[in-house]
Amino acid sequence: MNSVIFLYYLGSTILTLTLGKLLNTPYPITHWLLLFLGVILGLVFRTTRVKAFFYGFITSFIIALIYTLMIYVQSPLMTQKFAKLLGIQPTGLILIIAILQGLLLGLASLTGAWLRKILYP
Amino acid sequence: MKVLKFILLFFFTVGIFYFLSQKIGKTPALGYILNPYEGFLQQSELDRPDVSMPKNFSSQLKGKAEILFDDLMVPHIFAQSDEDLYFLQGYVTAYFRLWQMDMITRAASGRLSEVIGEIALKRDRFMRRIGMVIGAENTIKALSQDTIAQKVMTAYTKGINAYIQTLGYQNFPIEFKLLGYSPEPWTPLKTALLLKYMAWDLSGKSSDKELSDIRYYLGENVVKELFPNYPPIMEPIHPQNPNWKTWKPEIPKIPDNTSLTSNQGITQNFEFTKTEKGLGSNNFVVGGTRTQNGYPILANDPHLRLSFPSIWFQIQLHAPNMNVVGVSLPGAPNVIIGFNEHVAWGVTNVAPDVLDYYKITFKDASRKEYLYNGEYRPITYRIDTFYVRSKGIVLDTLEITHHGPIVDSKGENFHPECPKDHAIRWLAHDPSQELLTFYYLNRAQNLQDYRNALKYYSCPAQNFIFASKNKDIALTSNGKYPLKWKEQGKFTLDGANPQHEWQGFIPFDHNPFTLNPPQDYLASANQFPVDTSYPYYLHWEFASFERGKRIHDRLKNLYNANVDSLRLLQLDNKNLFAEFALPSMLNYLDEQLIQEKKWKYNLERWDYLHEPLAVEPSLFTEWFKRFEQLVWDEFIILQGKDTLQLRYPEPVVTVSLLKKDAENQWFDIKNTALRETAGHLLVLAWNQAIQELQKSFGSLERAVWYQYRGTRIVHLALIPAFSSEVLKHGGGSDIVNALGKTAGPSWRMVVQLEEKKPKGFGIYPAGQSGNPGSRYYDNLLPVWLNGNLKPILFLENSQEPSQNIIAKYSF
Repeated sequence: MNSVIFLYYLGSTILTLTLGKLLNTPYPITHWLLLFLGVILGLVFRTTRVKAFFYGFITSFIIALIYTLMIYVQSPLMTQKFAKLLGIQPTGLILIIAILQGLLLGLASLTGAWLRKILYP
Repeated sequence: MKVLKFILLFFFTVGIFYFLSQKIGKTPALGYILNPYEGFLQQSELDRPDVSMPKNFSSQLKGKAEILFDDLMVPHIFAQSDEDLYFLQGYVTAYFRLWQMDMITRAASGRLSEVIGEIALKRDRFMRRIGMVIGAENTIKALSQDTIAQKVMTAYTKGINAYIQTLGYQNFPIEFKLLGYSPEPWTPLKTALLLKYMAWDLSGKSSDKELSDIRYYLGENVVKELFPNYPPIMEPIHPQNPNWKTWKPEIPKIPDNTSLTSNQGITQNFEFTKTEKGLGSNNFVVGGTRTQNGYPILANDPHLRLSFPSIWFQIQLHAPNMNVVGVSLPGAPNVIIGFNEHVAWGVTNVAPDVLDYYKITFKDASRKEYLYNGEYRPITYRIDTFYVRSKGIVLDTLEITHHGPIVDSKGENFHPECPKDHAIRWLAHDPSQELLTFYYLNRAQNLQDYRNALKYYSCPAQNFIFASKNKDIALTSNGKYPLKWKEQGKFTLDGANPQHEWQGFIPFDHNPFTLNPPQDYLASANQFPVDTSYPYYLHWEFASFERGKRIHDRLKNLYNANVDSLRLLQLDNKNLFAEFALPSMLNYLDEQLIQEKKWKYNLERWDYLHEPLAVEPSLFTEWFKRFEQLVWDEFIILQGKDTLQLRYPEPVVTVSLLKKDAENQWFDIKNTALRETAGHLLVLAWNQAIQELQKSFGSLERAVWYQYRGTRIVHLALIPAFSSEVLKHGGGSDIVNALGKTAGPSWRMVVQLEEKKPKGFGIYPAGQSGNPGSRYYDNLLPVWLNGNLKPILFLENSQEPSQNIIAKYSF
């Protein structure tokens, strides 16, 4: 794993999510920002498609996991109730959230990397 | 090939993102809701309040203002003008309860289908067809004619909208995210709709169709025998007033023909069910001669549908010439039940007959004209538009007569009390200014102010109980009462006959009112406000005798009272109906023929208390229910494959019949050769009840009362994870502690008046916050379950030191 690329992934993802949170529009935008961010990251960095997916997945997974855990530790009520709503344990819900976020950025990065492969064979 | 694969991947990726952004059926958009940066996690709330204020907040206020939050998250608002006060009340209420406000007003205005789809369309159509919007529009017109009302409504609306403008998707209450829609701007009409929704809840009951059906199928004499105009046992709210005899009211003459044959045919599968029986509210006040400190003590516990979030929101409002604390309705300004430095007040529902159905005779099948007073009048039309989610626009044409709208034009079975081709005449359609009553009550300083405030009140009529530091106690069964002939509206009325119309209203000064009675206490529990010596007709039925009588019985012997005396009375679990019925029922029970004999002995020793872990209340309730079903078998009408269940007589009538004549013909089961008596039926009902309880609970010992009753406090969107477990609490329908299956004491308050400042105590079974992710969502429920009250913090000014204040915002 190239740590420089990973740090770029990590930094740009944190910046993008911070931007989304600051804007706080009436429409949920960070979901879509992840798509654009992933495609751009996949396009910019010269890696294999598998690695692009991996960088995207691991970056988003880690950020989401830490963020969700932080909220859960400080104020667990909502996570507990939402987990009850889904019929699972809160820890299971936290893991699902992190995996989903990882998959989304990973998939977007893979798409970007594939596009790069076509544009710059 | 690479390009093709990329295109496939591209569409797959975008497709996944798109798919996760869509609400599918009841499942919310998972990509949004599970997004930790904007989804449900954002509603995880820390312990301390964090009321976000917009940057230009101070510029929206006329003067300086402060909001203090106490440790129960109750806001205490201090403002220098009424406009600022109500602006901040709107803002803070929306901060905690925005979704609830939105949902209730959507339900009231028939707009639920906009957010939950076609499943709510029939319900929406019904709410429009009973004229909720018509009534709200008329109220807004009436309020706009009063400068004070307009000022209050405008400021309150601005406050709510100021909060909505601060919101982004991240801060939307969780229910908006789950249902997938956004908050919309608040309007004064929504406040009026909320008040009309309360009016429907409290005055929308009608016996017209039910009694007409009974008269049609079983005859006039059955109605006279089993549905009397005054019950066999009753202790009315107001003692007899000598003035009643001196009045010379112009009571309308009973028309020659009042017996419409208005069989509606057999209908079933209604969209709505009838409201739970035996619930209501209690309020009582004891005068200074009966209290420890020599000043009155007032108590109130309105029994409404219990929900998360609670119907109530506790608040203190302080402005020049006003300092009041109590509970408000989220979506309406002012305090509804509470106290200030001088007076305290509370309300229970009166439930007079202010809703009647008029049979409409159309000229022909075109339904364009209807008969009235020998002439044909044109029908007017109102076309209602429904924006149904995932379906589009649906139009509904409402036919309107001068009586009111025709609710059910096509036999659509909206509601069991609503007959086909009848126009609804409902007092809540009329222009009214109830808001002003609470505006002036909040500022009342004495009895005269209280009486003046009540003049603005129309519907739903309430028993306004009152106490002041001047040591006055009073009770007014207040509202607008139609001037009616006796039994007018007990059955459906003839829309063609002018004599069947309401003939005006009872003058305000003739509304039942009692001031400082000799016994020095007053109480109401939704029972008959007055006895038969009162010259006007209000209704033929009110709440049964039990709660009212029990409260009177206890107050008669209450001296040296303090706050705790009245708190304990609110928690009284004694079932007076069981005390009335059970000895006779057991007397006719042949123990040679029954199962589980030991439970007969247990019932004989029962103290009639509905304690949560007792089995006797479950057995008695199930046994009586089965007995009723067997006695009133004639009340099931069969026509072909269809069945019509007529309404049973009141339980007290059934037991009176048992006590009077156990071999009465009503006790005979029609379809058997045997001539049954009450004894036969009681044995049969007993064995059925035992089998039912054993089947449901495994054994009788496990059929404890709280499990049998099965009360849960349910979230307004019926989300189980946001609702409570079964409540381990005593009480029951027609018991002072009136906790039923879905409704109960929604706010318990006791106020001790004093020379300087009253001491108030209150509790409701939820919490201040509507956010399930907040610890203030249900933090008051355990206190309520234990029967305790919390002191109501009542600050004289914003600088008053208090250890309970945990946050302060200045503007």
